[in-house]
Amino acid sequence: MVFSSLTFLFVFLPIVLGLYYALPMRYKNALLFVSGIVFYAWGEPIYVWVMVVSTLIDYTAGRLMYRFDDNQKMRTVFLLMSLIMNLGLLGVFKYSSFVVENINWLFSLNIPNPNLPLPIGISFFTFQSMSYTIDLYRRKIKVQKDIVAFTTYVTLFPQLVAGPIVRYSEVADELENRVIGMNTIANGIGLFIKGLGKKVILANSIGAVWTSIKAMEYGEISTLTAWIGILAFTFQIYYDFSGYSDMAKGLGRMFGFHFPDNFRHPYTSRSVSDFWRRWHITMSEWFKSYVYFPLGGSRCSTFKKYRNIFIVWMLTGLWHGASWNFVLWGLYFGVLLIIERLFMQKVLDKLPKFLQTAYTFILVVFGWVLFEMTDMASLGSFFGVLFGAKGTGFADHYAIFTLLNNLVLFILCAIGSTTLVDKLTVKMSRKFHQATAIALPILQTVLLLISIAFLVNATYNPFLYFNF
Amino acid sequence: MMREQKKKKKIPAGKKATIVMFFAVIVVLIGITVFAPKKTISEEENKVLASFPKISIKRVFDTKFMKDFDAYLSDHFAFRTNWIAAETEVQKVLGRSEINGVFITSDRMLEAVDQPDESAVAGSIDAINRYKEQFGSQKQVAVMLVPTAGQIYRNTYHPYAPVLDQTDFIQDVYGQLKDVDTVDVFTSLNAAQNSYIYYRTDHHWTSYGAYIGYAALSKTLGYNAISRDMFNIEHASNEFLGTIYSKVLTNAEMADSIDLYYYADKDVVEKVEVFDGVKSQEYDSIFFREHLNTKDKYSTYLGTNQPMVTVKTNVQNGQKLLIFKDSYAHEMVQFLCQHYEEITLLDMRYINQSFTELVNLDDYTQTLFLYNVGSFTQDNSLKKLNLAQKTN
Repeated sequence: MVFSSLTFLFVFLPIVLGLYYALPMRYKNALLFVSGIVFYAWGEPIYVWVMVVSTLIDYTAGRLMYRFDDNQKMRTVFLLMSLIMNLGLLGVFKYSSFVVENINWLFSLNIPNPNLPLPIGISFFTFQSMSYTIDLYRRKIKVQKDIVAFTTYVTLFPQLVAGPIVRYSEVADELENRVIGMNTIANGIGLFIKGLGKKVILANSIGAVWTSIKAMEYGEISTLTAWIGILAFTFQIYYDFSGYSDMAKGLGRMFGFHFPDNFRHPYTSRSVSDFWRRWHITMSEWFKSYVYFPLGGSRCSTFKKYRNIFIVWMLTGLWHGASWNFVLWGLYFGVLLIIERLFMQKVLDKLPKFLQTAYTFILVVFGWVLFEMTDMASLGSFFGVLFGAKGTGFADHYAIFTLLNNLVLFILCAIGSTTLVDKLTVKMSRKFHQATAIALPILQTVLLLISIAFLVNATYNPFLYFNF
Repeated sequence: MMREQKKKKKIPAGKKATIVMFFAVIVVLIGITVFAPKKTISEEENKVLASFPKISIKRVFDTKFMKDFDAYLSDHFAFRTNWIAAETEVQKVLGRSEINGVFITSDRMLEAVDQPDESAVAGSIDAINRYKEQFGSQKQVAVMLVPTAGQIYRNTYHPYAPVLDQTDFIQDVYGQLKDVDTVDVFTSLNAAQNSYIYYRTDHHWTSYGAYIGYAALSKTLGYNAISRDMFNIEHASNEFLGTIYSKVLTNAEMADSIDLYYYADKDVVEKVEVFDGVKSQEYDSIFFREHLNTKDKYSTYLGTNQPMVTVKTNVQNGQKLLIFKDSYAHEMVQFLCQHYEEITLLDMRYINQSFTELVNLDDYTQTLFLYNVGSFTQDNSLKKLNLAQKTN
């Protein structure tokens, strides 16, 4: 199931919330667990077992590590069991086709392609449960003996299929003891509506522009068309992804959980390293804690320092999808980060702020081209058009019309990705406290109703993370 | 416990309002959705609504049940058509000139014609050429492609909108047809663009538009077009909201008029036979007035699209006309019937057998292919003409 659907908003959510608030605390986790399974099975009725198996293994690994608390060797064995199982599931379901295809190509073999389906959110829930066993091994958290509490953590539907990647340590306390107050619920609702609006009003509308342009013959589109297209995708993925994260955080609040921030105005970043501290924060944090630091981070020899960056960014790329273009996308950022570390940061520091932001934004946009073009031929020709190397002209009627037809949308998307709205809200609520308190629920109602209108007539409501 | 209660903060009114609003919206809407009587069709949208999905283990495991349930909920959602209309209004605020494929201008709504499906168009051209070769060597075959309102009123919406240039398209198709008589109707429709020749809310031409088509055909088909003054016009309805309206559900004030043309006082039509693919039914008029009280008022002209309709008249001149057509032809029959003993209309979209099993070509003196550009660019059903192979 996805949040941005009538079934979720009008059937699943009211039933679950109604029961949740009615039940005493000791049954709340069990309800969340069952809801998580139903939520997941609605879209993935067969492969729900993958999630259940992954959860059970990590729960057992945790118990066993606790049992053999003073036997470091055994603890390592159980950690490896958890890692091998999780990465194994991920490898089999997500990467087997990719690996087989490449082996076949490299050695001219004919191994049949397993073509396994990719269970939704597998990259999210395997990473989440690994955070538990690894942190337990590092003695950063206490063992979870309550199987219901642990399965609730993994199957918690607000963050199940599209993040944020909530680490066990971040919700460990709340799994056992959480306060659900009116304030929290109201804030949660506000966040949820904000996220819903971002997804169904902005992301879906601007996404339709990219979908049409992406399907065109790149040899025939004008430079402006290509720019409009990739900018549309730039906004689509931001509003879609951060909208989902907002909805997840909002839903979490409604159930008494506080999830970490996942996006902090990434398109206002002043450098690529800054961008990655603001974009999909929970994922970068995960890679930092569980891959980059264990490899030695930046506190080692120069060779290892760069090797580590490359490993992390190659894996980051691969995490987004089993295809070479994602590897390329990851490595692209790895290279940019190294360049910034070597000298670019010093150059940037001397530039005016808007140039720093422009530099970062344009590099991120080029990144999205790598992200979206799965084959090298279209990648080449799309970049060709962007730089006017295809001789198709700067602008044609299609480009101008599409720009005009979506101009307001582009402006809204651009303003919305800055800190302007947030700053204004804070300023208004300080200056006109009463008026803001009245205006906010009215604005939220309007936003909710408009989102519903867009959902009822949804002809284009994609789920972008099926690759993840 | 006591201490916690004391510490409890006061909840600001705004927060309470948010909570009440959110749950009220959800509960009211789902309540109405569940308890309101269910409709099977949405007249306004011209759409059959999904019925409650069947549930079985198999349908759950292949997610068919879930997908159908989502569709069911959306189709029967409380105030569905109002939501769609509201979305159109938001799109207008967003400054969109094209909404769901519709251009809204100050006096009408126009549908964009997509880029042609090249293989469908090539297939149709080939099928018409073969038809002429195989069946029409001795007889006249005429082709008339009618531009849609989107072309005639091209100057009323953005000049750069990515729509097909229909006049170029018609020229191009005509150029590839061999030995058939092609008819230009664009020129006369364009000249009459200030008259009520296209519906404002529907993708068809009006009866007046069809009259212009009839006049344009006269030279080619060899009859003398009757002056429009000779017809009595009945405004049978002025509440027609057509297919374009159904896409955006806005501008109801542009409602159209259904005009029925009667020649003098004399009705030449003797009977109308409608063959629905299984059985035939007879009617005594080309006007199916029962549709005047439904949403689909256009079907007043010769009914809904059916595989075969035959109109028999008391005209005695030996002339019989066979028309391969889309629904643009329905209004033309009001005028053409004055000049033929019999007119048969075949709609190849609904015929899946050799058409020669339905009609005997030797009976007809002329053949007309009559399509609007919108359907001709996308529809590939004319290929099915090739199912008929002349053996002798």
